[in-house]
Amino acid sequence: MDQHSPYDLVRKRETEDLTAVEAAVLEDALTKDADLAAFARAFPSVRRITGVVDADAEIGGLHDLDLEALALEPMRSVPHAARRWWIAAAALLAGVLVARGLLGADAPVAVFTPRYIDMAAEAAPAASAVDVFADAVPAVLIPYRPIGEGGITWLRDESQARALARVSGRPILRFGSMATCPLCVQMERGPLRAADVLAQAGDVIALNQRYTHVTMQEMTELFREGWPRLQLETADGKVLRTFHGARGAAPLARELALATASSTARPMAWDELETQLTRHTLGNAAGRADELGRAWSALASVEAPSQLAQHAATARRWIAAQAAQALRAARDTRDAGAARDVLTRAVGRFADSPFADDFADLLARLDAEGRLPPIQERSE
Amino acid sequence: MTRRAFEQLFLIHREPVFRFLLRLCHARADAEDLLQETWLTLWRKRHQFEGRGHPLGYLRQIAYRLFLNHMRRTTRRRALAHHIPVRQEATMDLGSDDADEQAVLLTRVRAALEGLPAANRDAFVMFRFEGMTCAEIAGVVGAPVKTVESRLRRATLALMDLLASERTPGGTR
Repeated sequence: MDQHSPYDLVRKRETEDLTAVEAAVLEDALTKDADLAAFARAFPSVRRITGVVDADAEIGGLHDLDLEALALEPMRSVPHAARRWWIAAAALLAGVLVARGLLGADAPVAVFTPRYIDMAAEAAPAASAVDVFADAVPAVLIPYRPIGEGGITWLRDESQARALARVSGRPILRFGSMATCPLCVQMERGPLRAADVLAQAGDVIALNQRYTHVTMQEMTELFREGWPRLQLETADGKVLRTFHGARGAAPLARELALATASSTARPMAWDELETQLTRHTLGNAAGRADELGRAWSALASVEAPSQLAQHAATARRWIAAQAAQALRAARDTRDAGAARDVLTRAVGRFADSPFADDFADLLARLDAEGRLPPIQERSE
Repeated sequence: MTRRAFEQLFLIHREPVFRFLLRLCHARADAEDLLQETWLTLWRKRHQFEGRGHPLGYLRQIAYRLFLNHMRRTTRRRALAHHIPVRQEATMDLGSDDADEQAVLLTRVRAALEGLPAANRDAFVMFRFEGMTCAEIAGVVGAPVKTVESRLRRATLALMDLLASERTPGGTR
């Protein structure tokens, strides 16, 4: 039993008789403690005034909340003496029902089970939207074709060429030259524009690497095997074939044919690649804008090539985890208004994805019932 | 804790815990939400409870923490306190109708309570309306008994000052 504070005794003196010992203890404390004495002088008045909020009829009880509408209307014809039994029975019934609901058995309030959201889904710990929705290639390269109206469409940025080679599954045709090298300029203007050469260059990523600011020693090393440098290499930099040095159109076409034949890649058609890249880029853009439903739908249609498809699948898992996080946030928000805000935002954020249906369903339940129903994970 | 034991606890203590929460937050919807959360928390932490202290004290402790979290999320209590001009109301003519007087007094007392610092108010509410001892309050709020006594005294003296007009001749009581 807790030992009474003299403050407790002050209250007890107002509500019931103190024992002789308690009275003596209190009197002694009052003489020694001025703060206690001040409290003892004020408390009776304050207690009396605050009695206005002390009545049970005013504060109400749980049975009033739960059973008022249910119990009172049918009881208008019930004799007054019987009402207590009616209320007690109804309270007991409600208590058992609520308790069983809390324990998960025959819940009186229908639980909400999301149809699409896996509440256990977790995002990779360090994954941010910027990382998840990074484009495979810059959007400007989506319509890339190696052969254009003016001949070969040379890329100048090696990292872009590598990214496009990686995602398209095509090798890189590297043309290394110097602006001050007459053999290089002649080859670029002549043989590299010839029809039979262009016919062999339709399935490469063309990279024109213009060497500038190199020392004489570096230049000697670079062009030791001939001017200009020409080689076919994989996206990872593995050299498939070299054919350095100036040559005419026909020998160049033959070399190019041999080089591309050495590549084992079986790339998808350019038009199809463009379609897939477009979907992927649109999905990423939506993701970065936090329009995760639109991102989900766009990325769902990315089927190939494997690198894009894998990236899209990773991003979709991240989106699913965000949906789960949003649902958990709604569940953990006990205030109905805050829950409504979370759900409303989620409906917009995940619009165009099935997750939005779950959020909309839950929001409808919240609006209809005035509170969130218990949420349980879908079983699979 | 078995399910049966939990059910027994629920049946016995749900009403006092609800009243406790309602005293603290006034809004029934909030009290109901917090009540539900209290029981869910007890169920989740049932293994921590085994044989420790009085169940009602433990439940009040859970409920009070949930209440504090709830209040941190919302600023309604402070906003309400700032918007009700307590002293101005305290000097207005109450009229002659008893019911009206009672309603005005109720509003005034509530506003005065809301105007107290949160910790002082909570201690007073538990002491005055819940009949909790200073030691019980200390257990719930996680403060020394002396601190609770101090909060209680400050709340009482502040209320007496705020409600001074109620005690003067011609007041409602």
